[in-house]
Amino acid sequence: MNTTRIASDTISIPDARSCQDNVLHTEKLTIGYKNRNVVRTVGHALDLTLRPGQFVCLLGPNGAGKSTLIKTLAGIQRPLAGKVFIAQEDIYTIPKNALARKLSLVLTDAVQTGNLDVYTVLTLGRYPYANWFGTLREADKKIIVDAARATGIEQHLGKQLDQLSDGERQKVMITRALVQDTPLIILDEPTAHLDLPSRVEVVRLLRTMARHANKAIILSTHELDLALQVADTIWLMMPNQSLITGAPEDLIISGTFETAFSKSGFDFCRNTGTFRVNTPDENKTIQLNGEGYIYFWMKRALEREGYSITDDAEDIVSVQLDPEFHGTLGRAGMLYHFHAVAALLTFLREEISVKTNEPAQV
Amino acid sequence: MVEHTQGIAQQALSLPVLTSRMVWMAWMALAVLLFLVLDLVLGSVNIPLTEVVKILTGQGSENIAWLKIVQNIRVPKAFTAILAGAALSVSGLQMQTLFRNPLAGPSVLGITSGASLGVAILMLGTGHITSSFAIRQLGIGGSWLVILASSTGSAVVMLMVIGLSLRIKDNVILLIMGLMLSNLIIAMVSIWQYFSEPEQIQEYLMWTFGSLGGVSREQLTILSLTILVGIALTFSSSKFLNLLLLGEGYASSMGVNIRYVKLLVIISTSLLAGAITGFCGPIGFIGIAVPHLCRALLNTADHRILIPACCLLGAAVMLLCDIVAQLPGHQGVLPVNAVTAMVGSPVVMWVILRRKNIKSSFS
Repeated sequence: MNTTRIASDTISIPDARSCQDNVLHTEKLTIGYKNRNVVRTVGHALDLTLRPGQFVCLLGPNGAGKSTLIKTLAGIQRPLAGKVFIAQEDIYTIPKNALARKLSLVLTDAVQTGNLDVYTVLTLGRYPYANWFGTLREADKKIIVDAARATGIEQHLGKQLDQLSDGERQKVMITRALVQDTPLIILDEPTAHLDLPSRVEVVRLLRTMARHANKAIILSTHELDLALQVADTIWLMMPNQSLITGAPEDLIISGTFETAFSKSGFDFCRNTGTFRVNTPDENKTIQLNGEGYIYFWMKRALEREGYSITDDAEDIVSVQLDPEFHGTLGRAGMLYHFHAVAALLTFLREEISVKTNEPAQV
Repeated sequence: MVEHTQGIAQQALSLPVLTSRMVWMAWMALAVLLFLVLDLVLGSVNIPLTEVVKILTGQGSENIAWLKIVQNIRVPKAFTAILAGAALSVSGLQMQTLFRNPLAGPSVLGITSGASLGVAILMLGTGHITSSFAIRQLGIGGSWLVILASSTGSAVVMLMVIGLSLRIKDNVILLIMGLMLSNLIIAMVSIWQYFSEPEQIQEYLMWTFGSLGGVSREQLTILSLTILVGIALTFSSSKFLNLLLLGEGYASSMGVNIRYVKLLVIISTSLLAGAITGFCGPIGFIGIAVPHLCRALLNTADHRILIPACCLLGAAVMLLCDIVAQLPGHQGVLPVNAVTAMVGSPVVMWVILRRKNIKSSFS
C-alpha cells in the first residue's frame, strides 16, 4: 500500500488510477446546478481521490459550491459531466441498498421527530444489512452498543431524541453513520448549528473515527480553524471553479488560502492560519519583546488596538511572567509598569487620545 | 462504567419497554372486543347479550326481529366500523410519516374528497347520485367499481399533494393547500349537485354525514379484502417508513428508494382511505387522531408496532363512535362524522398545544 502523500505544490493532484484501494475517486467531474433553466457550473474537471483513514475537510467561501459537491459525491445530485466512483464502481450503477453499505451521510439539520429514542435511531443504521422487516441480529445490537460507547453517547441510549441538545443529537446522527459501518462517511456542515464546545467535540470524534476505525471522511465545514487543525487533507473550493487539494499547511504556505478567501476587509493571515479581523491603523507602530504565550496574547491585544508590531518603533513594550503578568512600556526615556494587559492598553489608549485631541483644542 | 452502560442498553431495547407496550396492545385488543359486543347489543333496540351470543354462534333466536337486526344490520355495521377505523388510522399514520406533518390525514389533505369525486363521477356516469344506497344497487361488480373509482380519485389527489410537497417545504402551507384542494373538489361536486334532483341532493347530504350502515354482507367481503391488502402493503413498507422518520435525505442515504416508497404509500393510502370513503362517506379525524394516541400511549415511532396498534385502537375508537352515534335507547341516529369529529378534534387540539411549533416539528 502506497501511503506517501504527494506534497502539494499548490495544484498537484494524485493520479486516481494509481491506487486501487481508493474509497472514492472522481474523473473529470463537473458539478453545478440548474436555477430557472440557467445551468451554473461550480466545479470543473475535478479529479479527487480519497483513501481509507483519510480525513478530508471541504472548505470554500460561501457560494463556491461546497454543498453541490457534497450532494454529487453522495449520489443525491447528478454531475453535469464526469463520474463519481465509490470503491472503483460508478456510483450510479450501485443499487441503493448496496450503496448504503458503502457510504453514509450526516446532514446539517437536526432530526426533530418525537417519540423516537436514541437506540431506535441507531437501529435504523443497521437497516441496510437487515431483512425487509428490519429485524436485528445479536451482532447488530453489539455493533450499536459498541458504536455508542466509541462516540460517548451510551448514557443517552434510552433517551428520547427531543430530550437531547443539538450537539448531542448531531453526535447521535454521527454514531448512526458509524453503525451503518460504511468505509466512507460524508458530512454536510454537521456543526453549523452547534456551539463551540460541541463543534470541537464533533470534529475530534470524526478525527478519532478516521484514525482508529480507518474511515474515509469528508467533512464540509465553515470551521476553518478546526479544519486546519484536524484535516489530513483540505479540499479547497476556489471561486474560479477549480478545487485545490493538499495538506492544510501546504495550502497555507503556498498562499492558496489567501487567494481563495480574498475579499475586501477579510484577510487570511498566513502566520496564524486565521482570518485577520483587526486591520492595523496607519502610523500606529510599536515594538514588542517577550516570549511564549505571553508574547502571543500581548501581540493580539496590541493588534486589536490597531498597532502593527515593528522592530524600529519608538515605543517598546516588554512582557514577561514574573510570576504573574508583568509588562513595561518604554516611551521617551520613561518606563511604565503594568500588571494587567487591560491597564497597559488603557494607558496607551488615553495617551493616544490626548495626543490627537491636543491640536484640536489649540 | 462498562457494566453501567450495558445495563442501559439492555433496558433500551428489551424487556421492560416491550412488556408495557404489550400490555397496552392487550388493552386495545380488549377494548375492540368490548366495544364490538356493546355495538351489537346497544342501539335503538337493546338486545340482551345472551341473545346476541346465541345468534352469533348460530343457535338463532326466538325473536325473529332481533335475529334480522343482528345478522343483517348490526354485524355488517360493526365490522364496517372495525375496517373503517383500522384503514383510516393506518392511512393517516403513513401520511403523517411521509409528509413529516403531524396534522396530515386523509380528510385534511383532500384524499377523502378525491374519493368522493371518484364516486361522484362513477354515479354521474350511471345516472345516480353518490350514496351508499345507490352503490348497493350496483351489486358485486359495482362494489369493485366503487373501490376502483374512489381509490383512483384518492390517488389523483394524493399525487397532487405530493407534487405540491416537492415545492412547499412548510408544513402549514402544505396543509392549507391540501384544504384548498379539498374545497375545490367539494365545490366541483356541489356544482354538479346543483343540477341534480332534490331527493338526490338529500341522499348526497346523507352520504356526507358518513354512515357505517350502508355496507351489505357481500360488499363487506370485498371491502375487507381491499383493506387487508392496503394494510399488508403498509406493513410491508414499515422498514422504509421507519427510515423516513429521519427525513428523505437520511432515508435515501440508508438505502430507501424514495420514489418507490412514495408509490407504495400512494397505493395503500388510496386503497384504504378511498375504499372506506366510497362506502361510508367522508369520515373525518380518525385518521389524524388515532396515530397520535398510539404514539403517545406506546411512546414509540416504530411503524412495526404502530401499524398494528393503529388497527386496534382505530377499530376500538370507531366502534365507540358508532355506539354513541346509535344513541342507545333512542330511535334517532347521529351522523357518525359528527361523532368522530367530537372525539377527534380535541386530540388534534392537544397535539397542536403540545407541540407549539408545528411548522418545523414532526410529532
